Amino acid sequence: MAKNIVSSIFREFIIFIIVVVLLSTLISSAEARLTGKSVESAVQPGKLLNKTREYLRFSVKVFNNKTMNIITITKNESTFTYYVPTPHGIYTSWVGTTPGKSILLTLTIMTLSLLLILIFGALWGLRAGYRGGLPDRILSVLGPSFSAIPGWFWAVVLLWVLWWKLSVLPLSYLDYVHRASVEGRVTIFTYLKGLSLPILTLTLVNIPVYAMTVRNLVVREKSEDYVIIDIIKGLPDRKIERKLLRVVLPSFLTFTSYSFLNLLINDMAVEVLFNVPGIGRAFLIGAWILLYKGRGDLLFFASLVMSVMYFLNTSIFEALYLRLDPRVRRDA
Amino acid sequence: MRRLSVLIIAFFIAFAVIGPHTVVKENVENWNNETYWKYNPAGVPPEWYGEFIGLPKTEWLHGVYENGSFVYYYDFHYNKAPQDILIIPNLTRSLKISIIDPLGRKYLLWNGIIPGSLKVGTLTSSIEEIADEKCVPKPTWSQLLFHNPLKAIFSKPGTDCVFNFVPLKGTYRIVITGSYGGLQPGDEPRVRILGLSYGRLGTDVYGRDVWTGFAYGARQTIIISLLGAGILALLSLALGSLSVISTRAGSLINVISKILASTPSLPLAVILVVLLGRLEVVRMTTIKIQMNPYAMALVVAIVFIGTSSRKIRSIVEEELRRGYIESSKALGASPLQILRLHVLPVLIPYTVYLFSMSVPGVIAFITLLGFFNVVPGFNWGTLMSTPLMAGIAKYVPYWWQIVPLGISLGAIAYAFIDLGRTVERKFLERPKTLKTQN
Repeated sequence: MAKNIVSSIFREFIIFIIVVVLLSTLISSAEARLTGKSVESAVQPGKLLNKTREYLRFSVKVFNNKTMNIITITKNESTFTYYVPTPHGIYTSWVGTTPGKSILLTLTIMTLSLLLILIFGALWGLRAGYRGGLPDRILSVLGPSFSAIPGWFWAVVLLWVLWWKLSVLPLSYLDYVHRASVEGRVTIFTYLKGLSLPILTLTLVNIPVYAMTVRNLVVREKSEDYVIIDIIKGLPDRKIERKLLRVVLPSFLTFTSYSFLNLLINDMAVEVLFNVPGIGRAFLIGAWILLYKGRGDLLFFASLVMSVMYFLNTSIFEALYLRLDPRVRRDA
Repeated sequence: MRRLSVLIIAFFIAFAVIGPHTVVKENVENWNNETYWKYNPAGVPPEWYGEFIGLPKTEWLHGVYENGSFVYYYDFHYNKAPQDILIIPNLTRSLKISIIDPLGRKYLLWNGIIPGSLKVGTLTSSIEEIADEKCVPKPTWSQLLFHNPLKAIFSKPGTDCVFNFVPLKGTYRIVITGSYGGLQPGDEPRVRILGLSYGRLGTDVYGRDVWTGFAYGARQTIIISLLGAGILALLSLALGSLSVISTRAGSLINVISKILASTPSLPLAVILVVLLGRLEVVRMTTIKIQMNPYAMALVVAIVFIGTSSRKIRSIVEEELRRGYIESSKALGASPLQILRLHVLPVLIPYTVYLFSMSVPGVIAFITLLGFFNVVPGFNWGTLMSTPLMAGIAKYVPYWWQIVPLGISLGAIAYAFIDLGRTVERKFLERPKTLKTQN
């Protein structure tokens, strides 16, 4: 089992490396195109390797706390001092926070949302799929509509209700936290309240979609002979539901793993909309710097963080899948 | 229900064809030109909504030449004063502008040369004089400024102009003449009422006509979504089914599909748009990305192909585990023959299903790109880029910007999902008896 997990993570790691190289190739080509250089020369192996190294160096240096490099040049008794911003300085001045905090913010939003989505999605889907009734009818309406209407639309609806009309939750995370820090009342709840609209949006948007998946899996599974036998034997519904959940969990985890990128996209948009200085904002600014200044290092950093998140997510879910799927366990 | 779905799709296809013809081409060309829209009121709702709640509409007034003056008749029958009155002279000589209310009282607004254009709401001293004469109690300039200075002009004499506005309804006359002698018939200045409602879908924070963005953007959005979903479905079918074959080519395809499934879609889309689009710098501050909708459809397909092809691959794998495939293999069928004869009949309905489900997904993705100000061409993403360009502090969720887009997305999503589910019910769900036979 452990060997299986390690080899699967190793496979994912190789894919991750290829993805990073692919992103570096594309970003350096885009840089070349925007600065009027030839794209062909930008993708020559030597130049590409240098560029990838440059991007990776930027991505590492971004965590170094120094914000300015001071260069002093003395010429003919005159001294010139130049302040050159470091990658960390560029990041903090553009994004509004340190890269560590950005990643933490995105991870907090993603983890809390994913946890809530998994819990409520699994429970709702299980109930709707096995018992039917009103929860199923509601899900049948909400599932397809939520899966097709983009997350930003629901974000705007929530924003309109909770901020514009009811003034219950803050719109801009950055403004809310800044104001609290000026007034000296920053606690963990300040951050959580600031993040509540983005988390609420991501959670509410995705619960019906995930619940629908569980429901479909349960509906397919409940007509299997072993479930019918359990029902005939008179086993309580809760016990059968628990058994069904165990059976559909591996497939559900695969779905969750594949849907992660979709969740990440929605998270990026929600961060931008609610002014959260997470990786979404770094990506937005990275895209802007690429377009207007012809530099792709910040965009590469944001893309790298997204790829790392995806790699971690896939590895965790793959390991869970290998642990939970009885067929894989037996094979092992 | 299916008929309704077909009707919705037909409606949006027709709208994509007709919609762009209902807008002024100049508006589209100047979408990112802020100065072009300065003659529009900013952030006002649609005219049809204004009709319901008595909001003045935005309109050009036509002048009547009378004894060396131009007289503009404005029929004011609303509950609120307009946002402003704009005067654009077509000559540089000194002008005298006055307004006569329905009771016949005449107020002088301006006497002098107008540099470019003139907004009546900015004429502090004239408005204060009118307020002194008409309003009880007399408001301060800051009170007027924050509650619309034009309330002083359009309120009933002897009433509170600021906090309890009582409109004086009737025909107002705006008289423009030369300060030193009359005007010639060809000297007609232009007068525009900047109302509190505008056009079919109102205006955004820059005063841009939302209908222009919505109707003109519909064509590219529909083309990209239909074509993108089509290319996506076909390429996913090819990649997903061929990736299962255990040859070197099959393994390579499998690796490609896995890499694409693991590449973050947003950066991939942004970079591909930069690489394949035509970038044009507009007035030093804005970059306009021109992109052929067909190329954009290809970009969208590439971005989503990873996940979709993995789904197809898992279906093929499930199918290959079935008993009849084993028999076919035993009879000497090649992998390609098995794919063509046994797996493809299962995959084709799924591909149709995938196409239906991808159309709303593609539209959602296009609009999402607008959030990151990467708008290739002119589509519904163009509308979504507005809140962001305005900045979070200036951002106000105008319902007339969001709701039409949301309803359209919802309707399109409903129609395609409904069709997708019909395909699923008809071709993809296997009855239990059939399953046990296998």
